[in-house]
Amino acid sequence: MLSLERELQSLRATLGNAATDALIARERREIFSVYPELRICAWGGATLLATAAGILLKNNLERIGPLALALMIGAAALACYVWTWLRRTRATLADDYVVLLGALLVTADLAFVESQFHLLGDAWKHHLLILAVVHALAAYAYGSRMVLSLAIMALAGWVGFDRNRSYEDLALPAYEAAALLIAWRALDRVPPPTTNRQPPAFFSRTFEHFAANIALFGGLTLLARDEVLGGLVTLVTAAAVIAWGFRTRSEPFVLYAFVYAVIAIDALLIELLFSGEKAAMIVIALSMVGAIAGLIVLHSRFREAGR
Amino acid sequence: MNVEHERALHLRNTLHRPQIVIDVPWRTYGLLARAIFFVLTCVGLGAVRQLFELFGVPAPGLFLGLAALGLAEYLIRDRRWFWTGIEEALWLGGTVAMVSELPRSGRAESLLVIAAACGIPGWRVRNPLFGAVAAAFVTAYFEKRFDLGVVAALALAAIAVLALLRTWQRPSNEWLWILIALLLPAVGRFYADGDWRNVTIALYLLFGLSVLALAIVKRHHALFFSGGIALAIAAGDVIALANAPLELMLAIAGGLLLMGSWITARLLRDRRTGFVTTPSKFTAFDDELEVAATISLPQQDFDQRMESGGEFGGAGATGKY
Repeated sequence: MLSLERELQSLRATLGNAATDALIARERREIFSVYPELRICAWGGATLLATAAGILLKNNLERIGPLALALMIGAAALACYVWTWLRRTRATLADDYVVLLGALLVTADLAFVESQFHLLGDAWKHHLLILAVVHALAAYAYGSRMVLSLAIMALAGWVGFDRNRSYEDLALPAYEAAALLIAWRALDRVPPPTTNRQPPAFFSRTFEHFAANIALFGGLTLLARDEVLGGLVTLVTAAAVIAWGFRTRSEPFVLYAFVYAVIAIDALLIELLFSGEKAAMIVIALSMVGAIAGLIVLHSRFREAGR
Repeated sequence: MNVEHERALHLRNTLHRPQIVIDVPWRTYGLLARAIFFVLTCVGLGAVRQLFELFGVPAPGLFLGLAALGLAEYLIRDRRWFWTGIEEALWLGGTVAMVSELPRSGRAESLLVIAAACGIPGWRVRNPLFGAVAAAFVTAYFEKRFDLGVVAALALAAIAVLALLRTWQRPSNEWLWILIALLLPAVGRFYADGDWRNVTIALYLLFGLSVLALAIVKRHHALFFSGGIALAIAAGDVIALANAPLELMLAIAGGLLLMGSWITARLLRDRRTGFVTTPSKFTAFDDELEVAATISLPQQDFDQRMESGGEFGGAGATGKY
């Protein structure tokens, strides 16, 4: 056990009595939030149930038949959405994960239906767009970032950014997906026609992180095709993400964009200027020293900018 | 870093109130920056080590280790760097590099040497993760030497759980016990033999239920998670033993978890003292981690691996139709 009660008491004049008492009650465990525990249990439950549904679809096709299976999983997904919607005024944290379960079941069901009945024929890839729209509607209806992330991945898959493609073919879809996400984020922030007030930026960070990471990753995949272009594109993207991190006062953007930039610089130097194992090791060793020094400076500036 | 400074830093990170100035006379970084500095330093050390070998430097690990330790001590003592990730990587990389120069015997005791190579830097830079990894190597020694890996892991985890019942002054000590209590039950499972499956289930059930009971009485998050991990391992083994369809067992387990958390959340909804469900986080990245875990589910692979003509895999399954 760890208790900061002594330090909190010494800050009572600064924090105020009410805040200090609340914090001390937390230190004494007179108030103990099981929110994180429940969150992990509910997430685990939803994902285990979705996994069970996937195995059910795989193992019982001949015994139950595709139509019955598809209807069964679809009905289960619908039940999750309806049940949470009816309870929305007295929702608990676990209800978010019932929505997640519904979304995961929809993903499985739609793919199953398309693989069995070929409703879209040669345009089967468009089922990902349908999936993205369905998940997006659910994400907005229930205010769920997790379901929004499923929508984003479906949208990225629709433009061709998926894990089964070779790295060489990923760059263009990655930038298309990032551009779509930036546009979606902009639409998300447009005030509705009934009011002039900008909607809360509830989903903005999710869009930003996905767009940044997909674009940066896309830049790196370009290295496999063209080292110079890939390196430069990654560096420019990383610079933009770092600038965005400074502008929005969000440290993670700065940090991970910096890491992508270091990888791009190393790849560029090793491929273009030096060859051989010794030279590569010298480049890596020196670039790490430079990267550490650079990140220390960048981090200090970020902190100073926040003051 | 002395006790007062460590506690002050912990207080500053816990309060999240930039307007309250809590002075800590050390250069430190947050978790994400620290992890990045750690990785960059480790990559740099690895490259230098490789260079030494390419240039035929005799005993490269020894020279690299001494240089790394010297630099780490300079940064800590003169520059007052602590928990930056850099001096931590230098200490760990330095000791591991020196240990790599020892002749390879293949004996079980070499695992204790590796444990020391993690534990000593852990103690010097007060990194609880290094200490927990050292404890994991000790259990590996018990497994190799006496075939008692599971028992050793659960015994060390039990010691950590008991240690968490007393009050610690240093947050790093508290975190060392937390990580041992969380990590070792999972590590121990890797040593479990099929012949001893029933005993393993019984041990994990006993450990899990006891720790959960303590968690409810003492109200400690780590105890909840340690007990939960042990029970999940026991449940996984029961599922593997059971002569029932996998999907049924997973559905029962998932249903119990989801319903259990729903009922608990509902029961605690209006409570203001004792056990409550007020939103709280372990790290600043809880939401991002949850999103990352959700999109890496095999379920997400489902649609992307599907091709016209009927092939898909996902949700933990891969199938052709």
